[in-house]
Amino acid sequence: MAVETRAEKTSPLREVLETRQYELNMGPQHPATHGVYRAVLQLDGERVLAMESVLGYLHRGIEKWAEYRTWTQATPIFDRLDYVGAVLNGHGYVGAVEKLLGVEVPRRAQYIRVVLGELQRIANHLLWLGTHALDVGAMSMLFYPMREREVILDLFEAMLGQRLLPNAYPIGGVRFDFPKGWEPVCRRFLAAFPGRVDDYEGLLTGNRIWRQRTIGVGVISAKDAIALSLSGPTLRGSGVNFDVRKAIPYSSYGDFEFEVPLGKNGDVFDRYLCRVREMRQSARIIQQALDGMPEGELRGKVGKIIRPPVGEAYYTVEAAKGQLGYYIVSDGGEKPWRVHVKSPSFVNLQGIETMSRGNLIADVVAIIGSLDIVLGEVDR
Amino acid sequence: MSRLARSAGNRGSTPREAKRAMTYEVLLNTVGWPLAKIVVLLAAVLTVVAYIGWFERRLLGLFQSRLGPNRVGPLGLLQPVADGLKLFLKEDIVPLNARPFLFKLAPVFAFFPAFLGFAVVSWALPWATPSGRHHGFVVADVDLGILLVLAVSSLGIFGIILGGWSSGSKYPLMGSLRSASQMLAYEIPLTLSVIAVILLGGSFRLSDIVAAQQKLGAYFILPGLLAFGVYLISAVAETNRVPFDLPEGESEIIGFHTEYSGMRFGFFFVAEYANMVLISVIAASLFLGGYDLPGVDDAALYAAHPNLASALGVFAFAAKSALFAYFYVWIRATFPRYRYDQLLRIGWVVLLPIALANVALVALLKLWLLR
Amino acid sequence: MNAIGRFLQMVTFPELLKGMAITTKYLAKPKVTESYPDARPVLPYRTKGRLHVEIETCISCRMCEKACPEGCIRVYPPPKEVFKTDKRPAEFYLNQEHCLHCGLCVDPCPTGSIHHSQEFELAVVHYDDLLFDKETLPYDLDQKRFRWNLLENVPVKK
Ligand code: SF4
Ligand code: SF4
Repeated sequence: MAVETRAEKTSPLREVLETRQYELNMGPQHPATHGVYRAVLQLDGERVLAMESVLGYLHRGIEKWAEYRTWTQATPIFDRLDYVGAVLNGHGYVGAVEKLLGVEVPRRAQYIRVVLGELQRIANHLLWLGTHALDVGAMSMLFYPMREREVILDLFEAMLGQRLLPNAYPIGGVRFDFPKGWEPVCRRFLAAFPGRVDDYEGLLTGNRIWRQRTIGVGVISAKDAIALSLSGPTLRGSGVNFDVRKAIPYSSYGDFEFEVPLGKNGDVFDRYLCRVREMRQSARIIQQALDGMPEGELRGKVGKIIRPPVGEAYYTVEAAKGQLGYYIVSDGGEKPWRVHVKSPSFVNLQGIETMSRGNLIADVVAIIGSLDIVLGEVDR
Repeated sequence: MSRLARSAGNRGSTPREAKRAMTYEVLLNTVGWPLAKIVVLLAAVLTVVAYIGWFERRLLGLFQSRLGPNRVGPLGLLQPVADGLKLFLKEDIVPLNARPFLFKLAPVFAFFPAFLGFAVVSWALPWATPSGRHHGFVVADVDLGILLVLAVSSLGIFGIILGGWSSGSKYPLMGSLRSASQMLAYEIPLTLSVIAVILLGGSFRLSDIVAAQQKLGAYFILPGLLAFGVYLISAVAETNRVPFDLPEGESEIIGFHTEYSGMRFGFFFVAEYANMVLISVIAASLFLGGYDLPGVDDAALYAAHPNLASALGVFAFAAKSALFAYFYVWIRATFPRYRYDQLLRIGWVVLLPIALANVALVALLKLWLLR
Repeated sequence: MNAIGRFLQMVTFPELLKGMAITTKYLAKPKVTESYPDARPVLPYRTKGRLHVEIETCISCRMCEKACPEGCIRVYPPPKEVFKTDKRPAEFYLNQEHCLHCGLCVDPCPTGSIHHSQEFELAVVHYDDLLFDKETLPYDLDQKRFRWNLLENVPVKK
């Protein structure tokens, strides 16, 4: 509490009765900030006048860490950027190194990467859906998506050995083929999945409370979204048609037929719809990839010791949160000279100040949820 | 008193013995029986309150494809004991910024009013003892029973406001402010919906209202359907439960009890569940005929086997109240949370006019149809 | 008509009832959680659990040590004269505390001596308990350290 001198006090009554703006620290320990994110809110009652993000509580120096490891050794750490979408992160990094090496990834490996990547996207969106709905107060919606996510994690464990941070791909391809009995389980999951999504939508999409809480909240226009360089479903919720899988097809995404769901108004509801529809599309892609799975090698020709030529490469994938880019520089040695990550969570978080100005505290919670940030990726 | 004195005088042989017998009887009637009833009722209510927490968690688990607490004891039935023990053993923290006296007082303020309302609830038809006396299943069968319930249940808000304010922290303060405005917004529709029932029943006494339903041959949920709806919604809001659980709003502002720990938090917790039980019990007696046994001629049964009728009545009452508890958990498992301003809008703009119109409607109904 | 429909929808709340029907549907369905530790999970063969090292087949080539990004592994080859006949390491340390369970050490091993097990319960009382040496690394010794028989549900390696 500020100590005031007598001269500053105008009148004791005024001091008591005057309404004042106040500052509220949301986080770093707050259930709705999805990690150690801190927002300093300027409040008038419960209305947010201004907002400032304070980052860095989870900074682990991942990029620097990678510079002290060999190219291969650095792969597992990039799983830890976005720890609920680890497979896609790994894909981005190995893709960048492959680009620099000039290695051709065999088509079967590319397809396997698509299957695993889309499964990871679904898993990520399921977790997002659960936590976002819980933030808005729908409790059961935390558990239903978790149940489906569990199946995906089990599939990951059977395929890659780990559930969350599997260190999925070696440079040049994939490590293993699908184990026996994996594909039927995956297909069974895909068959049941659309029904489950229907249930989520039945609980939320039509629900008047959900609609009132999300429609018209946290609006960001397409122009602002582009200006803030948002990406992923956060951008597409505003109606901008940009998906790396379509725009710069990688890992044979060009072979598959899928739609990119778009929103209209750029509010929390549209972002929610985008992600839910994206899950359905991802299931479609996996189905196609499993059906059209080519035979062949699993790993391209890479030496035991990876020594990319001097140079730099930028490789970008559509991660679950948005466009994830790796910019790597090699000095020809065994270790990366520099690895820079353009992480979607960090960039998307920029939008939060625009979105939440003028809304209520409860809306801020919904907005943070709708951005789908993971603090491991924001702070790196 | 004179009647008592006369009756006692008839029994005793000498004036002295008569006087002693009289004192004994007066004491028994004014202190003994009520005290015994209070003890039994409190024990029963506290047990129910403890187990309603278990019931809720377990049921929520089942709703959500999980098992719910099943580790402590068979079916997890000892979970409330474990929870209570945990709360007792936890460190009691008073924040530096708090006002210690009020901070410590607030849970008490929240705790006691939550249990006062149970005093006037009539649980069953009177129980006949072998000596021929009839004991009502009610601690205090006062004329203004339902008004008392409404009055004391709104006292609990003082505990919440005090607790939020004296914590010396912003989140609890916001929680208690939300709670206060929510209380204001929903107290009125709640009262109005109760008034509709009072009009139908023609009494403030809960046992009379149940008797009126028996006489009418239909529960008041039928003529008072609108009132029932309003009551249900505002009761959920009054007890701060999903989708109106803004004062707690776990994911937004954590709640008015953010700074509380240990048993002080436990008091708030118990008070909340006690309120939930009370609201369910009141709803059961106002709208679902209380201890009336559905499909049975209660009066005839009571004439034949009074004690059987009473015992069955308690069970029927409990079952009807449990329906409401189930409903609470059900909507908690299903719905998201409203926003602060939307909640107030629903209270003032939607529920209040409906409740007012309903009072007029019920009055007309009463005038013309149910004479 | 549309307005009437909207009004009807507003007062009869079909969508709320639909939500309640969905939760009720799952109330009746079988539950998906398991009562761990009563119900032991059966983990797939590829699970990257705690590392095990067959000291008998290890040839002290230190490939795993070089591959590990966290420096968890220390291999001390035997003295030169012994190495000619017996290549088993003199000492082999594994610091499971820092292990990422990434599997990078398993890939280059020429003899397949180091491999992941399905043992996943690595909670210990003290850090030091996560430091494994030649004695504790092989597969069959772990039962001494843990209360449960961990190998019960582990599918046998073929
Ligand atoms: S699993 Fe990874 S971190 Fe663990 S010892 Fe092997 S290489 Fe090192
Ligand atoms: S790589 Fe294999 S053989 Fe070589 S030291 Fe490690 S465990 Fe032994």
